[in-house]
Amino acid sequence: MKNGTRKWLFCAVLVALLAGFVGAASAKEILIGNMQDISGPTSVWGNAVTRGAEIAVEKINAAGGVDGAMLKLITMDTKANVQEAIKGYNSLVSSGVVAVVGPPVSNIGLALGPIANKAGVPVVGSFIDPRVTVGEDGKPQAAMFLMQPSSVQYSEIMASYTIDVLGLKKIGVLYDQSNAFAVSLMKPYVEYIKAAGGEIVSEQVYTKGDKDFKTQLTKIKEAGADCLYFPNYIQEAVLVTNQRKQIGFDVPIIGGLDFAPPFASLVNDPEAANNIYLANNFSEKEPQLKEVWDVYKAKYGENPVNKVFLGYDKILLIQEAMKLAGGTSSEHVMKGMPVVANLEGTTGVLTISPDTHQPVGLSMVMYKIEKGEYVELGRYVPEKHRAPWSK
Amino acid sequence: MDYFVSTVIFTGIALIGVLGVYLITGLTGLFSLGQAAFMAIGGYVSAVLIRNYNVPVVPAVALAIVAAMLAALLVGLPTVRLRRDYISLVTLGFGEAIVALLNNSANITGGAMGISGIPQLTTLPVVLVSVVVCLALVILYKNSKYGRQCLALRSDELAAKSMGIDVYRLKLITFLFAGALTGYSGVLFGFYTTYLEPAAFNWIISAEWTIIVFVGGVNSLTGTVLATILLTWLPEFLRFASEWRVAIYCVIVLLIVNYRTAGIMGERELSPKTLRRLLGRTKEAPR
Amino acid sequence: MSLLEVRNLTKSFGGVRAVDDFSFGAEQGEIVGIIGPNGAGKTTAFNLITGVYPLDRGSILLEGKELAGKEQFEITRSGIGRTFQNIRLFKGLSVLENVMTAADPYSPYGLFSLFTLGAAFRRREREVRAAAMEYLALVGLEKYADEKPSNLPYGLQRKLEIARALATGPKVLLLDEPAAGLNPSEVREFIGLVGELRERFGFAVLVIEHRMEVIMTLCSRIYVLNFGKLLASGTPAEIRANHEVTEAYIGKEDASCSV
Repeated sequence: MKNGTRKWLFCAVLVALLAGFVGAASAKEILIGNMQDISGPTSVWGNAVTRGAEIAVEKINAAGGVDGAMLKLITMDTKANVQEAIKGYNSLVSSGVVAVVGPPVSNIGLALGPIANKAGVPVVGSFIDPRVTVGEDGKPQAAMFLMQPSSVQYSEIMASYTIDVLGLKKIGVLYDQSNAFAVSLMKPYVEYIKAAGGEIVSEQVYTKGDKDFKTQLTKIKEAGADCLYFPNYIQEAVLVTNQRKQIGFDVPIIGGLDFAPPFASLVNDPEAANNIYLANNFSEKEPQLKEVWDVYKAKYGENPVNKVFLGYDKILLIQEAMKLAGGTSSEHVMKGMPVVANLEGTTGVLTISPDTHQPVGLSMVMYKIEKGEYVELGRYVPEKHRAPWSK
Repeated sequence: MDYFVSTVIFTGIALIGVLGVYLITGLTGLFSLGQAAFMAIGGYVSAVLIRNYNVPVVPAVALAIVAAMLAALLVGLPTVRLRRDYISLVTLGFGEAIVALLNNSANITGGAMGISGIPQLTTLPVVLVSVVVCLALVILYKNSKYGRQCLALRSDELAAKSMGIDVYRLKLITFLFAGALTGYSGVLFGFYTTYLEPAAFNWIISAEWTIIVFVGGVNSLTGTVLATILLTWLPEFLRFASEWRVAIYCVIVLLIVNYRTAGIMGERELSPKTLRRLLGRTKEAPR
Repeated sequence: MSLLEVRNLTKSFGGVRAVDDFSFGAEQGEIVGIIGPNGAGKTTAFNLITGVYPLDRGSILLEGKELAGKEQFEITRSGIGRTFQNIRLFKGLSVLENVMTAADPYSPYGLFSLFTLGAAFRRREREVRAAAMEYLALVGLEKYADEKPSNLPYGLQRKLEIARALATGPKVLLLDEPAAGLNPSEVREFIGLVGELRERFGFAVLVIEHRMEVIMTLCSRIYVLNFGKLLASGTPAEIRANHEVTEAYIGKEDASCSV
């Protein structure tokens, strides 16, 4: 009997100790969660965001931290899976994080919304699906924040550039029907084009894993399209670019972020990688990138991709929110996030709209690929996106 | 606390789905590589009924389970007469077809972008009660004429027929029961995550569930339950390993399957009788 | 009218006539032997009667009702029970459960009664268990009820197959080489057992066997198959005296030897 009680006591002490370890974030530390795909199919993105966020944390800590406390990043694997992400988020909340750097995957953002609203620990992510930050009732999701153009904003930038700048009005669309990212970039584009007086002459679809797009491309060609909108992943972008050349379909491709470097070098054919328009979060030449660029290159020996800068800016936003709300708790971050305005980030000047929790008037850098070379065309933002309070 | 609760909830939801696979693979010896599709049907039907048509919760859940059973009937009718290996192919195709259907009917299901804003109705008590009820039903099934006949046809289909067992009917009934359980786990899943996307229900989930049943021991319900708990918590304990997490998980599963070919429990079950035997042994030990 | 009447049973596999125009019958309480060299089509005849293969031609009448064309389980339920040449017990089930399983198809309760722990379910489970124990006791296996069949010695596995076949409630019991692999004392015991069971249940027994001791002691009528065709039929004494049968078994040179 006595032996039994002692055993129970020992167990109780052990549990208490463990709980103490988990719960006790030292007073001088502010914990920030980071939820990324570390081991799953999109771990390339996940690692890039994580590295960017770490660079920002190191920089802030080197300058004395926030209110004298050091920031500490805790990374959780999501495996690009909704269920894993919910468990990961709850685990982060249990360890006492005040904000979470979200993954660049909209589906996870959609699932996290209601849970984060309840837990009160905000998620700052690059979810492009606008439903992540704006609920169906049209009100913003209290704890969800977006820091890059949403799919609607991004597609409208592309649509506006197509019709308002390039003057192309007969458009063929090709997209992956089973891919949320592609579908979310297709719908607002088509709506903008139609509203602006353009015409979708052919809409073709394919599904994940398809390798031959010549049938669809030929149909679009026969429909008399004067350009092709193709919002998809880089593997398919390479295939479509090559097959466009094979069937002799010489119209411009209006593409997404996936046409950014290293796309042209993957095509490795200047004849095929030609006459393509895309928008990127930044230009390599822009001065605000230099510092992060150099730190990254020194640390990892390679050039950073755009997701690195997204990770960096997410930390900057969280820091700014703390500054604006005058405190470092999760409530302060929640309060500060919607009023962030004119923050100079690496991906542009960030102003968060309190109505949508999305950035306002964020411009993108337009590029044209000519004979395998990226030619910069300057930043662009459609008239419609400019908010009165943004710069 | 939330973390613990959410992991328990996901374990419970997975357990109910795995019970369906146990009925099909453990008890009857068939392979369904499309089991996750029934989960999708359960989740989507209940979500769409509640969100788009304002159906009250109880009838919505009931209809979702009925829909999953209808789908099971649709796959089961033509397949139960096929050879075992063909059944796994047909169910695999069915599962992927359901995912494609969900992607294509975007105006109802939201397509690849999924359905969001499903009310969060799944709480810890709901999951715990559901697990107890589903587990009780499966235990009853296993220890009745149904379970015995299933095990008989699994070990020797020809002999089973010669003992007067209507194997096609029995396979169909088991398939429907499994479909209902898996459909219900989908309902709980949708009402917990509040968001459903077709990509969450591909054949990999079905394969994972089949692996769980094998790790537990195909013939042991106790093993299935233990393996479900073990394999849903293992990745949580491996979080420290960051990018090596999945690799370590796979190695552990391979080691179990390799060194305990009959699974953790083999054919043993935790019953009052075995429990008594175990307790008896520990009591005698000190003497 | 005979209890079982088989007419013109015919089956080919890829051009080879495995069973060719075989007719025979069995009366209630009668034990009928089917003998013949290996590959003569004896087991095929059993598989045709129990519906494992469809017939090419012929008819199988049990109490005047046609069984040909029915499903295997329907044939069993109409009263044909069987054992297998190479023992086919249910490995995942205990000895008792093996026997219960053969009685289960007659259990009328449904899922509703099961899931609500209804009276129909509980009563029937008790009945089936008790009946199965009784069948085990008949063949002397009651003390092995909770064992796995694979832990039983070969002779006892044969007995378990018989107990299981009894639980299907047969009017005609088909035994396919039931004495194969048994030692002489087990064979004698087996002969006694079959006699007792026939007395108790009054069913007809068809038995395929190579051990002539079994056939000659038990059977009142014997059918001899050779290359799928009926070679001879008659009482044990008639068969023993038949030269064609001796030839088919042993070859022409040794025709003088008796079987």
